[in-house]
Amino acid sequence: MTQVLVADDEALARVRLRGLLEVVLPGAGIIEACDGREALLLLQDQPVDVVFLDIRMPGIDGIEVVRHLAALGVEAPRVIFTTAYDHFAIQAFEVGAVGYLVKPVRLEQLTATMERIKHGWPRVPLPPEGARRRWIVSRSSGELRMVAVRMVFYFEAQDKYVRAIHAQGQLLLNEPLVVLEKEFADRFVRVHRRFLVARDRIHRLVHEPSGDRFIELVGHPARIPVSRRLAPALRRKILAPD
Amino acid sequence: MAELVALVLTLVQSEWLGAFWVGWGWISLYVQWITLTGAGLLCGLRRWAPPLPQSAALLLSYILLLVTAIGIGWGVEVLWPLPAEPLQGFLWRSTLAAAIIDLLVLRHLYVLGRWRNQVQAEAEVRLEALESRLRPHFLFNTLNSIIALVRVAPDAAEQALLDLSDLFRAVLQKPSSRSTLGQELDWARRYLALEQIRLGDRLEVVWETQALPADAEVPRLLLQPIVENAVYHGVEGMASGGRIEIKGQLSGGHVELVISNPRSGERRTGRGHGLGLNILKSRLSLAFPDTLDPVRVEVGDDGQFRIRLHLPYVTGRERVAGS
Repeated sequence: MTQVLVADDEALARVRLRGLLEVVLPGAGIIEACDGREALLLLQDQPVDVVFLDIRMPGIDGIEVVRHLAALGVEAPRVIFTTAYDHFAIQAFEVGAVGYLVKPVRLEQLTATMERIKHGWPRVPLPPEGARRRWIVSRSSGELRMVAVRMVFYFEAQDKYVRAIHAQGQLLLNEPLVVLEKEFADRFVRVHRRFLVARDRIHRLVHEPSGDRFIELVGHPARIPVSRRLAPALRRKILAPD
Repeated sequence: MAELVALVLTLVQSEWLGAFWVGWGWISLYVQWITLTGAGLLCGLRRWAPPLPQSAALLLSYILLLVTAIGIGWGVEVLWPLPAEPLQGFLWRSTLAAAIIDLLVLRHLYVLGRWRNQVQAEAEVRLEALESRLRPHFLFNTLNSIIALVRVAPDAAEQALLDLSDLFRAVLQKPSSRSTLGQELDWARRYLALEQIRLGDRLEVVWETQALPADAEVPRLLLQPIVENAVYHGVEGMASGGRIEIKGQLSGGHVELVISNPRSGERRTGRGHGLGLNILKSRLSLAFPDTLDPVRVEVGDDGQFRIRLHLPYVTGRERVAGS
């Protein structure tokens, strides 16, 4: 039996798509999520074959959901984005070659899409160019915790985990620091083999008489070690203006 | 313009043709000195001038021009004694003439500048009329909701289509025309009723507008874009939803209206709040040129975003009678 997830923040939009799906896929199991966070929770709890993701949802939006699936190590279902009017997103899809449906969805369009899925559809859609995550999501003991990227002070690599330190505490991530560094290069700067620091949270660079260098943050007491090798470049990049 | 002034001065005082040419030459030289020095000083100093209110800038320019005229007049009298005969009280007469002419020139520039600003503001308002009314995002999502309603709740679908057609009629009407507060509140209500269908429990709306005069004259489609922004930038982006409050009262001959909404804290793509607010401000200052600060924007510590409107209570009949 086919399992389908419909994620949309508007109840009536879910009702509409469910009605169409019952015609196109009689007997399919249909579950619903009212935002990206709930969609992620459901997707890691149960196997889903096809997911319809509304692009514009509060919190984690549809495009970001796909990005998080890989980070959370969940096997990605076949994804079809839905959108009422979002021509930028549509352009992104044309480049990335993944599926989308424009709301209000017509029965014929949905039928055609499901036909194409039957004849092979990429399991993991490419995230559109420039689709950067705005949230950091972590799974711990069956719970999904999330924090906005802009609330993170720094990332610290420890053994096989990465800790994201934010105002309310920390999240444990399963991603290598290099991936985070690449994705968030405009917000975070590498100061040490094990540390990435938010540029706008840096207060100053302290040079101890012992020769050790630290970064002090705005709004957080932590002192972050700076590696000898990276210090000159860091001073030039970040601290030169003042 | 300086040459014209010189010509006028010469015409007034010359008696025969030969004296006219000689006189014009001398007076031109003198007037051009004053004009070029004054203009040069103004342009040079402008670079260092702090941003000033328009009236202060005008007054300062005027004083500067007068000082220039006096300075050059004095210089001419002292350093270069002209044939004594026609120059009784030269400095005084020259200063007075400069005072009058400078006043006329500055007044001319002021009116020109104001006219230019006005034309620009009107053009912007017209542009806004074309692009800001009812986001396509709203239209297609609403149509999608109504299609879903057709089967499960035909009556609600009918009501929604009626509201939508009223809104579109309002949007398609001539943008520059005026409307009444009662009409505006009605359109805002219809708009929010449609959003309620889409967003369900996530949208809570509180109205406290009973004390407002329905016949107050306001620019057309004043409120709908404000409540649309309140949904788009506020409630819609919040998973747990939020409340929009529309409260108003009549006090001291003014309509006071406050529209508040929570902010989702995320920058959403598309047209920002900022541009919409600037358009709102320029529309209202065009409609009520004598009112100071018709729009005020506040972001509270509680994360609430408030737009305060402070508009004179004028009815259409009063305006016609008054003009």
